[in-house]
Amino acid sequence: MQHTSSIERIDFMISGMHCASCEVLIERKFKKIPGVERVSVNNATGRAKVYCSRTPSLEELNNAVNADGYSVQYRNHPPVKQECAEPRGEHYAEIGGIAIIVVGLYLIIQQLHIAPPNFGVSDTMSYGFVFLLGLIAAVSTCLAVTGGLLIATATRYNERHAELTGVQKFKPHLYFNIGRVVSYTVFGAVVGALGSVISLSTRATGILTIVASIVMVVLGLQLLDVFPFLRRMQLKLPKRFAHRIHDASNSEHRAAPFFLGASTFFLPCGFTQTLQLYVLTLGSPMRGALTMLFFALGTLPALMSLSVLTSFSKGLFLRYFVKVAGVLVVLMGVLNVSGGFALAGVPLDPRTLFAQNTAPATEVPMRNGKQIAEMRVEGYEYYPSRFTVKAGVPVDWLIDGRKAQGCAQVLIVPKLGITRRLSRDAVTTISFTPKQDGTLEFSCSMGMTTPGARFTVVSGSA
Amino acid sequence: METKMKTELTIVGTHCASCKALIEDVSSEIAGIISCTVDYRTGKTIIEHDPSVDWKAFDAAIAALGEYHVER
Repeated sequence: MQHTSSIERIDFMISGMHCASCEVLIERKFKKIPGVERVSVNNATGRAKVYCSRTPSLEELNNAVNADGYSVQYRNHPPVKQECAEPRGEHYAEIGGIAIIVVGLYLIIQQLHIAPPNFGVSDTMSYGFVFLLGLIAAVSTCLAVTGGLLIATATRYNERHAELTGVQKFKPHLYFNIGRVVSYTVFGAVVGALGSVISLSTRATGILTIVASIVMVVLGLQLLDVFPFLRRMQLKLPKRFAHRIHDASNSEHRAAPFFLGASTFFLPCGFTQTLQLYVLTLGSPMRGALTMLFFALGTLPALMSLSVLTSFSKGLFLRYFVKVAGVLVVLMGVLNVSGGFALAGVPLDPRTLFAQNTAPATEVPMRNGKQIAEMRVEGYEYYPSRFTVKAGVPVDWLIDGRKAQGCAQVLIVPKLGITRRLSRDAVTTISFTPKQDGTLEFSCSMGMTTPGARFTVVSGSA
Repeated sequence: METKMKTELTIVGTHCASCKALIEDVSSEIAGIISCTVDYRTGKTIIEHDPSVDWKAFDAAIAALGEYHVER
């Protein structure tokens, strides 16, 4: 039975592995054992295939890797998976701490009202002002989706390709932002020329928001590494090919981020929607293009800083950055998903779980045979937010949007197909006639305003 | 005696004790390297070596692992 030349395969189970480095390390250690020709280790299954001309003893294998924290058993022995050297408890405590700090900062910033209350899209704006608007928009919740997706995908990419240098990691960001600026300019011109807004229907925007939010939550949780099972969802290159990434054709690396950046024009963002409605009133492709261009340029500094941070940080700072980014991305995803539900017209709005709108419905007075509903918009809130109107009687809805912020400058009523930019200088009037009993929900174009805001339509004869 | 030198560099991409063990193991096979100590949290790596050490071989060996690259 002794055939020194024939190679046999023996499978072992290894406990204590958690990553690709473990695989390589164990493969190297085993190969140093006399008689072992080839080794293939899989950290996901815990299995090691050892191809050998002489069967190594279990003791030999254990001696080779025990010092690094692994243990080897025979195949019928189930492996024990071990998590990264970083203790899990400490890991969760860190994430918890970061989450508390981030939420705290968010609440503080909300209280401070950093954005001037009267800062928004007015009827006449200089390009410099539009640029400033971009600056503000980029640091507000508006570009949360764009920024969140950018960080999440970039950080995942960087984690998997840690061997790339900072400049190499930064390049895709550059193409991403070029794509964004170009598409904003082009679509600005198109909106100006066509005289109609390019955007998806409210329902589609809502569904897109929900999908993007779920992607953000999953990516964020992957970054945080809270649920080990999520790791299996990642696409992983075979480790032996990872270093060939350098040689991969560059064109592919340019086109993908470019088009990703270009597509962000369609991502739900209150500011872009408001600006589109503004560009519409200009009725000029040239001015439309320039307005959107300056807006996109204004959003550059904030997004580029994110890019620089994700590309060039390393060591301890990178570890904390990844955690902070993970927490932020999850939070933004959770905040966004509720807006998406509101837009998609899903009756169950998850936000009502946290903020019940128990405001009593306001009865509207009659004037000249019309029902007059008066409403103020302050920041992101509607006062009052609930009205009762009679079916079959025309409604004049007088909206004072002078103090509206961000996306609240655009009001939508999905069931009526109404999308209207609120004037910053005067009261905006929306006229409609409710046809039948039921409810007509309204919100800002991102679904981020007072939850549960609506008209309740009752029978006119009652 | 005075042939022994110390060089400090950063290996980007380390995340756990296995990375540390792997890099230290690979380094021990490079001619001229006497010892190598990696702090996987920061990537900071201290190498004791002869003046004749082949840094190109070292960098290539680390890069070949697929997950890391050397920065100086």
